[in-house]
Amino acid sequence: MATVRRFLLRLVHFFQPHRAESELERELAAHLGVLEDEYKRRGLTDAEARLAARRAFGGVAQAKELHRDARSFRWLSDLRQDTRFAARALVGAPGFAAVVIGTLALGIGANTAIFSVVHAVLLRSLPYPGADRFVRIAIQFDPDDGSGIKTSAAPVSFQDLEVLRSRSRTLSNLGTYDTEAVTLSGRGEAVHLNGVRVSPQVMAMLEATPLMGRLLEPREEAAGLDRVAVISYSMWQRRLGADDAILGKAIVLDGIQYEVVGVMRPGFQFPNADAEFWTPVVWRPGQRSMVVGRLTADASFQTASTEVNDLMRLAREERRSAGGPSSIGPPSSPGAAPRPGPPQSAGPPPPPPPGSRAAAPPPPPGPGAGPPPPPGGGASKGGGPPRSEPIPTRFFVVALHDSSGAKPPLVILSVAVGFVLLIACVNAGGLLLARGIRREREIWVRLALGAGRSRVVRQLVTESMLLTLVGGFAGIWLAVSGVRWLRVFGAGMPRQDLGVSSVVPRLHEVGIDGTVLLFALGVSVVAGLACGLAPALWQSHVEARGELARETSLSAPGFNLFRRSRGRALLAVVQIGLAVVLLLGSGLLIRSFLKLSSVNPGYATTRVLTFQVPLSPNQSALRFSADLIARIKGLPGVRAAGYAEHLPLMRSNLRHVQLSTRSAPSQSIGPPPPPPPPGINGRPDFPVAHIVSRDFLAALGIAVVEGRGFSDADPVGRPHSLLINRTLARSGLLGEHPVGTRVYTGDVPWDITGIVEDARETGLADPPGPEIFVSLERSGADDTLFRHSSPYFAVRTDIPPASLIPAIRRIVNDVDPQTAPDRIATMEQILSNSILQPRFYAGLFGLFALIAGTLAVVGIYGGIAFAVSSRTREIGIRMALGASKYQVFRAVVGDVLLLAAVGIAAGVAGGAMLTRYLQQMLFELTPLDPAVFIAMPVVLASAVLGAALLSARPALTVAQLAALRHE
Amino acid sequence: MALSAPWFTWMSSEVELLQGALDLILLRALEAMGPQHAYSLAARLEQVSKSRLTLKQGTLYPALVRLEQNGWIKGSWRRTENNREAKYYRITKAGTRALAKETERWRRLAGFVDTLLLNEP
Repeated sequence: MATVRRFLLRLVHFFQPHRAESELERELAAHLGVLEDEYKRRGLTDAEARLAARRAFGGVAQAKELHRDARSFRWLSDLRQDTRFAARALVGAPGFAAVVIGTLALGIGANTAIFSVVHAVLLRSLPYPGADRFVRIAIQFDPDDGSGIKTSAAPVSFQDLEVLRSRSRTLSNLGTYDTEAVTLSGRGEAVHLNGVRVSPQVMAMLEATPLMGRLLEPREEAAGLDRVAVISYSMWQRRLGADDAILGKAIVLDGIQYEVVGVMRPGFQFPNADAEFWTPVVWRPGQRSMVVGRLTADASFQTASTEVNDLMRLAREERRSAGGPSSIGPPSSPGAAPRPGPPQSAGPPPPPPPGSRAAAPPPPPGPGAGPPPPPGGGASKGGGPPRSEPIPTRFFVVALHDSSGAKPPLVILSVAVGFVLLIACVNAGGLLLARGIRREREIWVRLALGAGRSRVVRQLVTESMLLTLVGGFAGIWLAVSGVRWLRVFGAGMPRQDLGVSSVVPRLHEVGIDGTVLLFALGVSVVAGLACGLAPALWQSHVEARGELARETSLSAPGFNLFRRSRGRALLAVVQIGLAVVLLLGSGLLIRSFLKLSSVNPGYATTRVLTFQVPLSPNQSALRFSADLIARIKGLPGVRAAGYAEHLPLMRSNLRHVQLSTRSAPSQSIGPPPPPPPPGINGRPDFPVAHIVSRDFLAALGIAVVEGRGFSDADPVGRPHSLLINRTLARSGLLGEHPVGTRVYTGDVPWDITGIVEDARETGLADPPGPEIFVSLERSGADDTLFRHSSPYFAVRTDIPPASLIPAIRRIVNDVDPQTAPDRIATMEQILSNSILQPRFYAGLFGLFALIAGTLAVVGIYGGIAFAVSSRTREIGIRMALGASKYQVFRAVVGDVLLLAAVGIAAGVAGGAMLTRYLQQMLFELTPLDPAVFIAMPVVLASAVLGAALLSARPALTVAQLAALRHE
Repeated sequence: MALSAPWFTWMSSEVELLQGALDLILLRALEAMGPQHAYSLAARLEQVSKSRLTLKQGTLYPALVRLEQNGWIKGSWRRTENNREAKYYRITKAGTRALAKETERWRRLAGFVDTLLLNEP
């Protein structure tokens, strides 16, 4: 009791020392007074009595000090005193403080910002309870590009899903989901919405409760019962006017009425924040989709994988004995159904399965009848590749949310930013040490006056801690703005139809939260100890080194700054070396990015405006588009306009067709053909087929290099005109002069009328493959072509394309008042969006390398400047004795330049070992690119040399007499 | 309790046991003599111990603070007979209880030390 009471009182006295202090003052005065009375009583005069009283009492200040110790906490008040002292000392050296704080703020801020990304993307769990038990069933494949084994969603048929659902003990909530873009109509202008087709079981897995109404129910996974939708809070608020009586009302999606049965709470998102509604998925005959689910309580990924393989084999054997078709095999075409389109993206963007850019290619262009075959038939007269026997597939159960794609670059970035912090710490430590050397006399005096060594160290560490904490707070402030910038710099266009929408998944969730703050604080404390403790310990031994004794001698402290301390020399080497490694890495990434952005895409990037128009129900895509194009062509400043299923650089399904110089029997009978076998990418006999409007190529600026393009003069009858790209023309499949050659897709004849420039369809880094183009008007395509996605329009202009937007809006409204153009972007923007990731990493790496290089050079500069200023006397004497300027210069900077050279060499060696981890991020560049490996060290070496010359200049101008007077 | 003064003052700031002894002495003195100010307390103790116990101010004041913070004594300002103001300390009820406990503890310890010293091996 008494102990607790005393502890609390001591705390009170620590925070409110004044009352106790004046009380003590009064008490001591009283004490002296009583003593005085005593002495007067013994017969002394007033003055004598006062003196005697003081003598008898002893040290008043000491008594007070002891009183304070007893009444409060000494270490706390020491800390306060140290902090005050440190603050005063730093205010007294504002330049020094600013440089150290700035250095540390850069290091801590950069680390905090990157950690916030790593935390959001890799460390923080998903916003669903138990999300670490969510799994998907995957297969493995080995992509052509040699990037190693990857997993891709396994295509599972409904029969197999039913087997798994009924028999699996390791997996529950099995089902599928797929995002889709639909048109919401009936409420003002038609708009594109992103929605999700989801198995009710999967929605239940998320364990979310709706705000109103209910979730989807398992029975609704059947045709006829599936016209129900659960909508997001934001859709309810923004699109449906927050109607309280929305439940039971209908919304029209792609012309079909859905009953709203539930509204989710704000913040619910699945599989991403774009999704605005969820409708039940209905499996079509022959459909295969990825399957997700949840591990049951006692299952592991291993046991689940084993069980899934066993069950799938069993199911296959049972079906084989029953004479049914095998349902296990490579991905198959989704056929055609009223709404569910080809999977655009499935949750975490799965890597493309072998052979195609997205999950399943729609059937190839047919003969006269036009592209997609009638629903259900799945026949393709064009003839797919030969059917292959199903290969026994091995299935793997893997974590559903796997950010592993984003992991390697983030790890590399974290290491880079860690290097920056190390360099910053070495710099700050060096500055502290240099300052400490200047303060040796002060330290010595303190030690001589009786300060304990630990007390001195504590005081010095307090000073460095104060610096790093201020640096840390400045760093957090930097990180806050840095993160804001990262979220802008790392975000692409918020469009689902583009292949890239942000640098890392969940970028919008990146922010500075409690964990990140804690990290920043921890980094600051560690940095403070790291760069403060060593100099402090070193300084506290000033006595033993007898520096003071030498104070008047020639050898000023700091003489041979680097040579004297091997540790310090090592740190300087490490600092330079790390900066070189970062410079090499950033040089590679930046050079690679420059190469990438200077790739000729094959289409015009400027003055091309693109947009999409959601079709209102019952509108004919072809008639609408033709009307629109005709009117747009009439606008002033328009050079060409066309439309197609998709634009370059979209996340879309590429359609491979088999092309041959001989007619092949039609394969219109039988089950849907399997998709192209793996490895057909790049094969000239399986080119990618594009169905485009007549002027689409002209609108995109894809040049015809030989022969002629489509024209109205093309005969209406067969054979139709076919354009091929340069890669296909050069492949040799069609001979030396392909123009004029007749080719067949299945038994359909085509005449090659022209060769067009290669266009980078999937990304600037992807080399063009063989492609063919057929005219939409002439090949007899019908509206089914645009069943899955509304047409994209491209307009080539002579004027800045954005100025056309109002006119185009007006025209669209004229043609169909129920809709409006959407996803408006120039080709330039789309192109820029496609190289988001290389730009992001090159930019960030470049920034870090710049900081690191600057810090390293500043460190060198500071070191030499310090050595020079503390050697003024010595230099003066040397010069007085006849040393040449060159000799002085060599004495001053020689060591430093040697260390820098060693550091650069070490950095190049380290870089040669480390840059291989960048391989995946480089475009047409080896990790040991000679240009970078020569340029970067030269850049740093010249910067170091410049800094050395600049900082050593005062040494050369030391006036001899002035230097001697210094004595 | 024959303590020579310098030794005592040195030890009292360092050793817990003797700090306890100082507390004991002060509490006992205040109990026996009634409210005292710091000087008179020191003077009376010196007198009683026949100058063997000289309390330096540096020892006395921290001890008084400690006792006051423990709630065992209480200081209040009063006038001396010469009409000077001075802070008089008196023992509190908690202090009386603590004194009893400390006395008991001290006796046991002293008894043990005595036994140890008398029964030489």
